[in-house]
Amino acid sequence: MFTALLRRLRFFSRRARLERELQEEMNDHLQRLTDEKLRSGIPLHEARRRALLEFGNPMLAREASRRSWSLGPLEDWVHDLRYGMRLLRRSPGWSAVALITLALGIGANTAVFSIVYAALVRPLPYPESDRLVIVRQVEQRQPERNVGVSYPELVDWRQHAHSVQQVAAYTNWLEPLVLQAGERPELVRAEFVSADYLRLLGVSPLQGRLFSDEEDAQPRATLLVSEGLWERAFGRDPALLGSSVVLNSVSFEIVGILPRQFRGLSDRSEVWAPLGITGTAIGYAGFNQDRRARWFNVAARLAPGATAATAQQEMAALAARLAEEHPALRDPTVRLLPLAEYLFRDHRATLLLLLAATGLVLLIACVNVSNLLLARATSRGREISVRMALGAGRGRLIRQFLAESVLIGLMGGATGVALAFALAPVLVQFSPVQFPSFVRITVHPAVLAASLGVAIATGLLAGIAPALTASRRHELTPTLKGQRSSTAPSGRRFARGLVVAQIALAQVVLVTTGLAVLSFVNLQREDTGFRMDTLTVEMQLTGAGFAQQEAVRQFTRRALEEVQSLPGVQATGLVQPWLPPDSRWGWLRIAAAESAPVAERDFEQAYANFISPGYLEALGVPLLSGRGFEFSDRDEPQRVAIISRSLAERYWPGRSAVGQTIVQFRDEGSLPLEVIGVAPDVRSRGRLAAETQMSDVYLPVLQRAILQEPRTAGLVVRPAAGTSASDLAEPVSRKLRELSPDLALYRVESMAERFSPETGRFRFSAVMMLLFGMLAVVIALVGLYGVISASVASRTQEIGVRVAIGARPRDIALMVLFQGLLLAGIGVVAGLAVSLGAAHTVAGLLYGTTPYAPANLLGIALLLTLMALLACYLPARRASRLDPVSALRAE
Amino acid sequence: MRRRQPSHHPPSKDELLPGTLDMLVLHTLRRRELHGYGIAQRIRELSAEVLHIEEGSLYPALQRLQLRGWVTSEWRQSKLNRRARYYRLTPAGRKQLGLEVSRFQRLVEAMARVLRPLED
Repeated sequence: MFTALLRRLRFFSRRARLERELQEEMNDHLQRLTDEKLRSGIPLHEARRRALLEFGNPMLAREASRRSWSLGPLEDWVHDLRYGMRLLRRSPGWSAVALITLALGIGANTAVFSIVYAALVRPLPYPESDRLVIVRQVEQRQPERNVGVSYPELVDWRQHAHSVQQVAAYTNWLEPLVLQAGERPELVRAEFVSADYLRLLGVSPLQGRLFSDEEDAQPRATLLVSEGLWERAFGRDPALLGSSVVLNSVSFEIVGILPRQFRGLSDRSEVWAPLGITGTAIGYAGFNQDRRARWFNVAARLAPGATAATAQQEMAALAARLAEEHPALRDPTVRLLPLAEYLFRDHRATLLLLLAATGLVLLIACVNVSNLLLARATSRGREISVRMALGAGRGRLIRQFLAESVLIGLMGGATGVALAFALAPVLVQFSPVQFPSFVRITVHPAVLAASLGVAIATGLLAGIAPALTASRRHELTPTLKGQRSSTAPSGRRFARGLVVAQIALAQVVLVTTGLAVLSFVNLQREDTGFRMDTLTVEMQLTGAGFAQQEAVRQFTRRALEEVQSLPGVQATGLVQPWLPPDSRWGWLRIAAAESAPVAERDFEQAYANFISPGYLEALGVPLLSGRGFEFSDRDEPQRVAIISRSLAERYWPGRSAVGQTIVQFRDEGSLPLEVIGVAPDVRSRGRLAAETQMSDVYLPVLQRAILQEPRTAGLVVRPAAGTSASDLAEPVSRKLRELSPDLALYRVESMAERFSPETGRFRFSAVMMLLFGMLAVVIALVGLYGVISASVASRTQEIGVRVAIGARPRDIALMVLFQGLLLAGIGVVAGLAVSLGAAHTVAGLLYGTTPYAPANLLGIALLLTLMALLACYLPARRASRLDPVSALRAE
Repeated sequence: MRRRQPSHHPPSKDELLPGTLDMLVLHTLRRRELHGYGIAQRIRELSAEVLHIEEGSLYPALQRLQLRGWVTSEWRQSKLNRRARYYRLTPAGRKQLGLEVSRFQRLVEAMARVLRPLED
């Protein structure tokens, strides 16, 4: 088998010589035959003739022999490809257009493929990552909101759950903590993790060890640091292991160094501490008995034989059972997700949309090239007729056309792929939707293979119609004479059909673009209810200076007073623990005093905002009734609160809420709070707020148990008229540092910047769709231009006749324009139909607009029609300027 | 449309059964090495002039046989100092010849049985 192949190749490589030798042999044979005849007395030329008769046709013999030396159809393909290359070189302009069109189409596809591959297809960098799941505890009425898991609940889950193993916990808040190691404090993100978390994610330490299971329960102050932090803060100190550092005012011993690529499931962590020390580190030692300290997220591995569905069922039943014994949450249940799905939940829909869009763009490009090929095939009519007359079969011709178009596909594809790999990392880098750090765009064989397939398929698709049309029976004589062959009209008809398809596709892409842009604009314009031009500062109140309650109170007052007195400041306020939009993380349970329930879970949840006097003014939120907080509002005689309007109207409809009492549920007994003011509802958790909006309760910050964690605070500074937030950034930061040198300041930015990530997804889609929309339109219009031009060229004689019998230039121009308009119109209508039919598929990705928005649909249709008219302008003008005499003489 | 050129040879000479040319060539080379002309002559002789193949069609057959590895060739000086290409069977070719001959004989016997007048 193998030797046979080798022999074939050997013959193939020697075929020139074999041919020569065969010629020699056959000549010799003929000579001998002739001699034979001569010997029997036949004269020379008769002998020759008879010899030749006996021999047969030498040419046929040669042909038949050649078959043994050739690689069969492969040779034909090679020949076709070389011929195709020659054709491309002969018309560089045409070739350039075709290549660029395909390069753009295939390039766009490859770019998105490579991102999709790196993000969604490639397995996560954890062992057996397809068996990893995230287990979220939620309340059934708000299934999007992750409630978290507490340590006792974790223990119960580990004990009773059988469909998941290695139930690992990690902390679910992301505030940076202050690491004191050497001169400068570093702000680092920390995860407090159970021992099997590290095992679950398959990480091995570069040096030292990982955590042990005992450290889950017993508070041992050990720490793991990332290699990156080791370099940055410790200069790769070889003696780091065993040394101590202070994190969040607690002393830890460093026991291991983890490789730099590992950043935990939060993707931002640089230090890890064991679960058991969480309470000590953040000042609540009793957390591991408190079922309500739900600080942890849970990741686990599916047990062998379990599926996500069965695990979900079991865990949900378990949660419900536990809730009966320890009622705290209302109807708790569990949402189990594969880890990959969880990590990419924000990206998946957008990427798939992009994939669809690039697919459409490629289709349009393909149609364009098909048209180009058709035009070129029509001009090769003479060549085709001659070939057919010489005996080429239709199949052979079709094969050749396809070889040419596949060649263009491959060349365009190669260029496109190069472009894509240059562009894709840039896309990911600037993508506002942050990809996890392990997503790396590489030149992966799978993507290359996919692109190769796409290039070949595109070539075939683009070439099939021209191949079929052009290889139809040609009448030899008229074609050889140069007259138009009879197949031209059907070829043109096909070309027109293709252009209509292109315009329809462009319409669909543009409608989607319009929707993406509308969604983004709608989101941007959505009013949050408070000012976005304020300066915000996030701070950490840790360190020796803040160890005492009174010290913190003093600092708070002085900070507010001094910052307020800076020039250009109109109002100042402080909020704890988090600034918008992160204020979704703090909440408490309340009810109206007169109708207070008994069980905790029947209390309503509301967001807790601990604010200082001046905060609401700084935000620009006017009080609807009552008064704001003052510094004199302290714990006695009565605790006070401000509530949002929705709450007030719900509890005391038609009456004033000021003076009423609400109660806050606490274990030690419900706490009554007097309502002293009502504020309007604001969207302080963001404009998207997929979770159900809970109402807001504002409490004086000085009432808050100061040493309660987390010890973060946010300052809001409203600039006076004529100043901007950025003007105030430097003076405010300096003033704060003056007041307390070991205050950790970070994220000094405007309120608008704090909210920009939420619009990220929409901005990305809008920008991408704009790019693709423009691409689609340009390609479609170039196609239209080509077809109309060709039509004008072929109707030259007809135009001449029309002018001769009295048509004015304007009539000719209108005729051409109308033809173009007709094509565009059909395309637009077809595109509208497809848009309407497929609109529901994108409904989930929009904001503030329905996919059927008539303004969008009709607006795009109008726009496309106008652009089509523009594309036809030049051919129309050319047609109207035709000299009738030369037109009539043209063929 | 494609039109095949039909081969023109004198209809009076008996045509070979398809596929048997290769077998004949292999057989001819069984005991000696011959050049192309020699093979044609030999077949003519052995068949007592019944089988006249188109001598030109030998050459494609020879190429095929070489490609299959059943025959090899080399250029030699013949008598009369002429350069000629001599063909020779390979061991694989010898085996193939055996196979084809036995197959052909089986076929002929079967046909003879079919065409034999029925005996009472």
